[in-house]
Amino acid sequence: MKILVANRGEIAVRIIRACRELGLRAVAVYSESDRDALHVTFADEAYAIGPSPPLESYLNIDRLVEVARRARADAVHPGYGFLAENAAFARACREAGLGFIGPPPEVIALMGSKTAARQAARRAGVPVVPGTDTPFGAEATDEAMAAAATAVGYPLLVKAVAGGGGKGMRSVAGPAELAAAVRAARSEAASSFGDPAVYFERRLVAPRHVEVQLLADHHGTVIPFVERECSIQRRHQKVVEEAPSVAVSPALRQALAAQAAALAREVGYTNAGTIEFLLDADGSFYFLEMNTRLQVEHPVTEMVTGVDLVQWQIRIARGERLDLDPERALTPRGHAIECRIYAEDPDRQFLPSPGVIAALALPGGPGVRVDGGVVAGSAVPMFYDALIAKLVVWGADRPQAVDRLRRALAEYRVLGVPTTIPFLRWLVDQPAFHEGRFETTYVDTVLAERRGAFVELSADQEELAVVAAAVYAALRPRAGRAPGTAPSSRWLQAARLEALR
Amino acid sequence: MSVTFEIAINGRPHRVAVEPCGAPGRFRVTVDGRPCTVDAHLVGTDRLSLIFPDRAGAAVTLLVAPDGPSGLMLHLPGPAVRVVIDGARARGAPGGRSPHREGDARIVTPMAGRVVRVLA
Repeated sequence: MKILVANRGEIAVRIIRACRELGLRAVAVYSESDRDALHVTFADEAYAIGPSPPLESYLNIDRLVEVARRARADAVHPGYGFLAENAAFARACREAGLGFIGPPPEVIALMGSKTAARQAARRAGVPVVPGTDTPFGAEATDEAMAAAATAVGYPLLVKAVAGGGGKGMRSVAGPAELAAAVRAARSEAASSFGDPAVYFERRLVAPRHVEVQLLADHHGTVIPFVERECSIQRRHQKVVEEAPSVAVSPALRQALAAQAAALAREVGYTNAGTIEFLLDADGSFYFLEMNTRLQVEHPVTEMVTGVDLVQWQIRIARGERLDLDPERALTPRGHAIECRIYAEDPDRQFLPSPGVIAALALPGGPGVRVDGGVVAGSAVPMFYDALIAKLVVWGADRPQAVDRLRRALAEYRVLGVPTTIPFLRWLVDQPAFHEGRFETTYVDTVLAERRGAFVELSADQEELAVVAAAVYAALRPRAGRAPGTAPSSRWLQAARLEALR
Repeated sequence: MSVTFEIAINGRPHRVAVEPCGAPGRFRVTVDGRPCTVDAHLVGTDRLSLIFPDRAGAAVTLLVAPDGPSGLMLHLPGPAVRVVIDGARARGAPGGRSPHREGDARIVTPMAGRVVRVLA
């Protein structure tokens, strides 16, 4: 069996590794700027798919299907992002006779519509946040929307029907803000998703974001897993995820899992998916949305259950029965925390920082896993998401996992591009993080209050840097030249040869 | 027999003198008049191991990469910094032979290259 991985970066490497362990051949695809990318060097076969802009390569359905056929691939794994939740891509694969390692296109389309997903949740008996279940298209009048908003109640969120990741979403405190928020959300939704439709949802005060991973096979078995806690977010983007959640009791875990499984059954779900919930301070929870793909944060589930989710995605796609012990899936062994490492500069409002990774030192040791997409010398192109790796730690309990995370972040060094590691080191030392006292607005709140740079040099560190630079220059007289490269001029080459005689 | 550098970090210049001191890799480094002894070894191409024998054996390993013709990127324990090294001025380089020695000298380097034309 041969699988084409329609993605790049760390997730492409992760999927290729799963293929290797299952004895399958893996086919990589790459854009012009990814010729030397790690996922290409990992694959058994690799094919160019076009210029660097995603629309011309990783989002080009026709090109990907054509390459999959040419490579004689049996199936396509979409990873996350790009076309992973694109029903048209899943359909194109099916029509081309290719397996799609994910749910059927009809289910992707159903759950991709936030309002249709809310309706499905209601049918399954899953509580949803109070809101509107029908979308407001371009024809909706201000009066109709104002009446609907009053019925939902303020504060509320205006959300894109086709949205995700915080795009096309606006918070509204009261009626006076509604019209402007709708206009802004529609505009962003149209440009991001090609669909300006929005709906309203009551904004809960300080909820947590918890989610339930599940696997479902083609024989009717649905297995929900122990929850993931994803409340550490910056501007609605997850930054740190962990499993289990400190806010979820065993009884609540059972309830979350039961509701997630009910919704998966209601929509005929197959393969890996995640159902996201908002968890209120009083323990009540509400369906938020379903991600019909592998999640970035899937490793924390793997670390506390020992289940390889990517391998199971492939095994389910080829028709195998899901024979996991449901109790094992719902019983966390220890505690796992994941940090997303981005090539972004935390001292410049997390500005993406494309460039070349000049040197890299990865953490290791007990309980440490790095799912990376780069090595020293790798380029971080400006065209794609700036995620370069995920650092995942495991501990027998949360305090040990936090200690390991702090240690691993101290070992993790990247030269050449700024990363979010200094921010994560700071975050891990915050008392609220230690104590698990946070909700979805926590990071944005503490960042707004924070003063000073994340990267600061003490006098002792500056002296150490000066000493190091001086002795490096003494050990390598031409310190500015890349190590191992030949002197640039023939005069210098000749002088070196002479000196060696 | 020391080499002096001007090293700038975040625009702040430092005057540094480096001289070999006993065992291979051991240097006496004076930063802005403050001396220390350091045992320095390059490990692979991008790691610099430093041990400070007169500071209770403090050991530090840095990640190092060149940054243009006169710069270095260093990752200390904690922050990463860029430094600019303003040329070595050798008073007898650590290795004993310096291509930058001052005064009269005989050029012994052969003129390597390809003859493209002979003017008769």
